[in-house]
Amino acid sequence: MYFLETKNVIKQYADHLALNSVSICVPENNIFGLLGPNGAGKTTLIRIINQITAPDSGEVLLNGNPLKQEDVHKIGYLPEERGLYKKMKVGEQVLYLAQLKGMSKKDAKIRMNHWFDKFGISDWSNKKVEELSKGMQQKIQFITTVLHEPKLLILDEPFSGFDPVNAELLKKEIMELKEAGATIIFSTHNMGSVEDLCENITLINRSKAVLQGRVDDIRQQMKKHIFCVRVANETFIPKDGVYDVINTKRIPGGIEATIKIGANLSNNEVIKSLVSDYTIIAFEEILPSMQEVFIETVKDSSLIEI
Amino acid sequence: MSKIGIIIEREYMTRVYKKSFIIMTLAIPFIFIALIAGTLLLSQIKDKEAKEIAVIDYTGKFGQVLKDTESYKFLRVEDIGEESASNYYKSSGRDIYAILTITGDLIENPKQITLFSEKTLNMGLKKDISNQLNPYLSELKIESYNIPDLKRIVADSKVSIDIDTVKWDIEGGETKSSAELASIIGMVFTFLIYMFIFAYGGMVMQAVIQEKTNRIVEVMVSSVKPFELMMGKIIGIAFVGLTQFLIWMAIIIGACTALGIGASASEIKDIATVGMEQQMMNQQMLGGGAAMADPGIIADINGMIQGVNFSELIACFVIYFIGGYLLYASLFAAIGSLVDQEADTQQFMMPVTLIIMFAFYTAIYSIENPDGPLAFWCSVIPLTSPIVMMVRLPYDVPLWQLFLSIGLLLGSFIATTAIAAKIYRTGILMYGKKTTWKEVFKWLKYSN
Repeated sequence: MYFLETKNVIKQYADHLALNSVSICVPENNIFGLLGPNGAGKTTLIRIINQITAPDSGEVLLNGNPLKQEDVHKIGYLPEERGLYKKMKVGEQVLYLAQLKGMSKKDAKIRMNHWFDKFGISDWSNKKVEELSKGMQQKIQFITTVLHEPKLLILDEPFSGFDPVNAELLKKEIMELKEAGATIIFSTHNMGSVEDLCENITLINRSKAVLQGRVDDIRQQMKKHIFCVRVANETFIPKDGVYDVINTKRIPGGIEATIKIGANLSNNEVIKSLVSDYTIIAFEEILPSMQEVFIETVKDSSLIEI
Repeated sequence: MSKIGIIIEREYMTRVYKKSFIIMTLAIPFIFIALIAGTLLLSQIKDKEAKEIAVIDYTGKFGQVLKDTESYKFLRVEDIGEESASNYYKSSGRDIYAILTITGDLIENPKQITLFSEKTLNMGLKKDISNQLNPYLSELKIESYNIPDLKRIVADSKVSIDIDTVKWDIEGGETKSSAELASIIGMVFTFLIYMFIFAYGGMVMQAVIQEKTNRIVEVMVSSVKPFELMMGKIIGIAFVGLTQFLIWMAIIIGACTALGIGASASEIKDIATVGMEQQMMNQQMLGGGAAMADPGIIADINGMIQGVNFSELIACFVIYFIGGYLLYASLFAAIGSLVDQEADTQQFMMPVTLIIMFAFYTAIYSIENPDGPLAFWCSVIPLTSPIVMMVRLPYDVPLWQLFLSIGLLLGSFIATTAIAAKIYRTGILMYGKKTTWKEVFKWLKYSN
């Protein structure tokens, strides 16, 4: 059973279909990437999971049960467009938002002190939000998102607005939360962080889920049979029926070549053929990066639509 | 505590503890009193220097009748010979405001008196002169009939009536009531409601826009329902308004007890006395009689104030304030949700402002005819009733009308709140493009 499932969710706005029968499956205690170009429908789906809007049809299951109003307490949501009450003091603000997530003031205070200590920002408590820098505000916002220890965390572009040091800190916190048992939905354009963090993804394009599965599996499926070969020879040429050479590059003591092998050949057959001609130093398959997967999938699915 | 309670608490606390709120709440009663006192004072101050009026009386009979007043000084010019009045005006070298010429016997021909000036003359001067000359001319005329004692008979025949209006209470006891006082009290409450609706409705709208531009709203609605957020805000701000009103009442009551009950609602009395003084002055001028200020009048006003049922008035004020505020605040919240910044509210504010203004002017008109059809309908129809009914209340509105009006108000604020909530929950998440009326109507059909 999945921790969170959406089943054939449809959402129609006045003049466009925002979600066209989208189903996603998020396993428990997993970091799940929700990917897609701008305007694909990610935010709408996230809002439906947060019960900010309701789907026209289809359902959302949390732990196998349809979402209830109280379930908002189990969810922590960091929207892409961050915002806090500017005139409110940091401490009051954090407590206020935690209370709205169903925590008692007393518990919220304990948790708040814990997080403030952790981030070394205990002395901010009495400052007004508008006195803080943008990066500081982001930290506060992150704390308000996780303070009530949500089972499901929804982070929309969490790294935007963070400098590299703080982004790294945030990444660490996300991993820690996952270790502690949280399930995390992670929506981003930053494919590098997807490869680093996500185990499963769904890619939404033009209101439809066009690609989903484990990151490793997807990269395997989308592989182009491209290998990197290093040989200790002076020349490297294509071999008909076995491999094409995409490019070659001179390296100290030999050549590095990128080759594309015939789809019906196994790796061993190729190596056999190579061994007979060259002295092999290295032989390695190149899997497509998530960046490539993303671009290719979006391009393909857009072509079909047109 | 429920979530809506938490929201109400925050909305209330952040506003009530603001320095600006505390200062304004304490200062406004005094500003208000100062304003009224100031206007009264100013209206009583005439031009500092009396203007000079040259009187050229060719008959020599009437010029000396004119006595200097506060505003005008009459200079009698003896014999200017052949010189024309306009030449005299130019050559006199003095700052003369106007020249009055009397060219013939006014008893025979009252038209032979003329005022010349380079300026457009005000009504006051003309009135002043005729008020002084008319009684004198009448007397002369009466004398000219040569009937003995006629003067006394005529004086005797002048009767000035002063109608006391007395209201019966249930036990048949009598209290003096005063139309003037009732209208003033009605006006004060109407103005208060009008002010509160705009001030606090505007505050709701501002708060909604702020949450939207801050982008906190998305976080908020992931924790609470948009309806809870909107109502929490509206109710929280309503408590702020009530707090302010109660503080004002406390200040007024405190001030009244401090000054002794004799001066209860002293501002109201001030206005009332001015109105009456004005009337008395008019009487004096027109009748020329000796209707002196009756010291009993001031005492009467105290009686009249006691004749007004203040507890009922204040109870109704609170009901209409809450009802009217809730009705409009939900509309203001919906409007706030439609825009990205305050400057864009214009197109949506327009109809609402028009209705409130219409109600306000109807209320002013209704003072003269508090039981007329316009006043009746506008005090029953919910969008205008909170403002118009306050004017009618001191005139003892029939109970069924009051209940009908309040019932309709309650029903309609539930309806507008439901509609506003639908607009609100869609509006708060819309950014960028300007919303049109057409789209707003479409949102009403969205299921969620």
